[in-house]
Amino acid sequence: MMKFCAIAVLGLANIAAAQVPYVRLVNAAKDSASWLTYSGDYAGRRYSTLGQITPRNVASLRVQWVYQAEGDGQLFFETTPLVADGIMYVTEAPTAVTALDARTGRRLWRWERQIPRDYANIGFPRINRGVALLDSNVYVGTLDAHIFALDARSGVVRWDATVADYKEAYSITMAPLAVDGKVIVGVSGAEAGIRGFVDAYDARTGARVWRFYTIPGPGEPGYESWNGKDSWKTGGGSTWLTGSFDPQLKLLYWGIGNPGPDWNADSRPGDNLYTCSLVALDVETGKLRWFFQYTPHDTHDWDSNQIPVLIDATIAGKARKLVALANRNAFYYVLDRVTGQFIRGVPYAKQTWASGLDASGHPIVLQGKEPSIEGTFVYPSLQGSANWHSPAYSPRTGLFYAAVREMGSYYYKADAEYKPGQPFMGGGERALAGDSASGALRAIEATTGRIKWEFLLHSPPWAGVMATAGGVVFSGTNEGNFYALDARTGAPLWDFQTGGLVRSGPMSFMVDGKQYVAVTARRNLYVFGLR
Amino acid sequence: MRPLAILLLPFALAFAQRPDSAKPPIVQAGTELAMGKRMFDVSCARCHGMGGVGDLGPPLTRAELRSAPTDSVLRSIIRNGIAGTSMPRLFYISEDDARMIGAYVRSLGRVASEPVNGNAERGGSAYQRLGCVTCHTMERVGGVVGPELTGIGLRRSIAHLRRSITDPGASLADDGGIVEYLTVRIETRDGRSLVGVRINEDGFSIQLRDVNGRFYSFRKNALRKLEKDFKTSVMPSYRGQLTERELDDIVAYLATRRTDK
Repeated sequence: MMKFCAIAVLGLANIAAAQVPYVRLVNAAKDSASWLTYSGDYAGRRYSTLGQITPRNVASLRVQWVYQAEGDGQLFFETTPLVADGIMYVTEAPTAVTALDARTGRRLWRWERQIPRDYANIGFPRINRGVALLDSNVYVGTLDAHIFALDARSGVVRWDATVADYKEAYSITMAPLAVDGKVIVGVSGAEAGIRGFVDAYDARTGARVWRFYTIPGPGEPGYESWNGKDSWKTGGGSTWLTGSFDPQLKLLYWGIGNPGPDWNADSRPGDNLYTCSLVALDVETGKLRWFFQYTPHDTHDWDSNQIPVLIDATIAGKARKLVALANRNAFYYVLDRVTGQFIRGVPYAKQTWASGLDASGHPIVLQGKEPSIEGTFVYPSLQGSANWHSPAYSPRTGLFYAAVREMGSYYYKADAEYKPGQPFMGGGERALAGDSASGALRAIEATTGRIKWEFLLHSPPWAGVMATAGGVVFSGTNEGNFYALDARTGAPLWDFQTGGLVRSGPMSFMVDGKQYVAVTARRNLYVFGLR
Repeated sequence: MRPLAILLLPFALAFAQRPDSAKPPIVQAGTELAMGKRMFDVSCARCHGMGGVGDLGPPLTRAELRSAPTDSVLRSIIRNGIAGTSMPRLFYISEDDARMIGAYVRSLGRVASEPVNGNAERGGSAYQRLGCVTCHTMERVGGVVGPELTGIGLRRSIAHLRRSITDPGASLADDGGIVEYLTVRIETRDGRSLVGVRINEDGFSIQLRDVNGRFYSFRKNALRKLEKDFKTSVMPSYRGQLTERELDDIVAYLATRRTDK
């Protein structure tokens, strides 16, 4: 009896201690049983190095367990689960964290934040996309713009930091990024005239280490790109998706959102830096190393918050450190991630706003594509060719996999008046949806931007993509299909009807030597494994 | 899988075959409705789309709104949101603002009552005589091949009703949404063919019903051909089959069906 207890206690101790030191995060790609950070690794590849599931056997995937989120299922379940040492950490809308036994789906603990009654989500749904892990803590951002450190063993609060004032429409829906001793977090709110920023917090204490404002103030470089009176104060530039990180270069790569007001740019002549840009920030200081603006003076709400994917590849016989991004504006870009130099940019989706990019990567904008009182029809729609749903990159195929939205919109312009915590958009959109819209999963040659293959989808997707070392690509549809394609050819291999909108990014992990694939659909989290 | 040049073609076809018909609603300036629209555009259109056509939030272009059966509930939802959903509480909207926004929202799904030329009673008899009831349900009676017409006068203008009878294909989904009662022609790999009305569809399967009400389900990879006809309805045109007076009468009958019970 004593012996049995000792074994039982030992077993519990094993599954209860989620020690994820920084070095483990740096080497996440080698830690194939785990999924330690939002995009799977710091490079933002959403690539699993597990290879048990292959094109040959993927058709025998079966549901192993299902977890149902709390609540009545009216909120989107957009989390990417993290898995470390047999424990899965998911977030649930509006703001809750749940730890599950990754083998069975049984709950270990749950923590929930009560969202204040006077909180208003302006411009996005009430959701949360996931946590960050570092050492023995789980980090989560909340709708009311706090960041919490929870003990990974129990969910008890270790610290709570106020990031910004939710009454001024600052909010957090993204999964934080944990680096060496710091937790990096961004904010939502550019539909209500915030001034965006990226913050770093001390992972042990919650003290703020640095803040990088995405809208430069008086005296700062880039301020001259805001020519309207005080327009920088309400310039938007949200940072609402998880960035990527190069531990060797010590640079964070963070996508910046749209300028405010979204569709009426009368009050903000100029390029409106650093909105719709990618910024490279020194992880120690938050100082700007370089930036690249994809869409200067945006008037279509084409945030550039999409996941930056760090790729090492050879171009013209030379080994290059690259950052690739499939932008909401319908162009796929490859930059040098050391310098920010533009290397290549090509459309990967239907677009009617630019005739192309010039040699420096700036768009050659067509006339008459601005929002108007009577409505201006433009591709892509407000929600863009890409949005928050993640792409994937496989180093085995050299392909960048993007779930692409093909939809156009009428863009309307209206007056915009700034009042704190209220909508500040100056117009709206009427999308040509339904049978007029469609989608595709496209495999893009990462260095050239050439489309290698595509798999057509019934409607513009909201599901991210995962690629695996087994040679399979996974994604989902609005109609509830979760599906697998051959990573090399795009041939459909397997699909499963989940019964609800798939609106999240798939991930993969291993327990007891068996590979699993997980994805949420409506209120359910499905975990699949080979039969 | 396939070269890109070929693959861009289906997009081109899809765009060519759909009418570019999403139109903004017209509201007379200076009215309370216009004020309601203006506030709706600022605070609601981000999620519900301009004109309430739906986006992240549900479409509001419906005669009845599930969550807002009465105008007072609608006003309360506009101000207080819906707990447990993404519909926020908008603290800055006054009761008076909510009333104007609510009136605009109601206008999106309901057409105003218009004067009719025909005689609704005679139209009702013609509706029976022509056998409309075979395919359409009206007030709990009738077939299911075509859309239910209970309360149709709330949702459709006289011009739309008239066009639906004389040119049914032209009135398929004029809102840029999913085309309901879409005619689909399929051929299976094992040589069967079928013309039916689409009930549902995803990237991997399609569900159809034939004119006899029989249900079919196909995996798309089992099909050799799948054609969608966005211009032709399974409903026959009654152009030339009815006198002007009969047409006016049937339109009058339909336009006066304004209870959704």
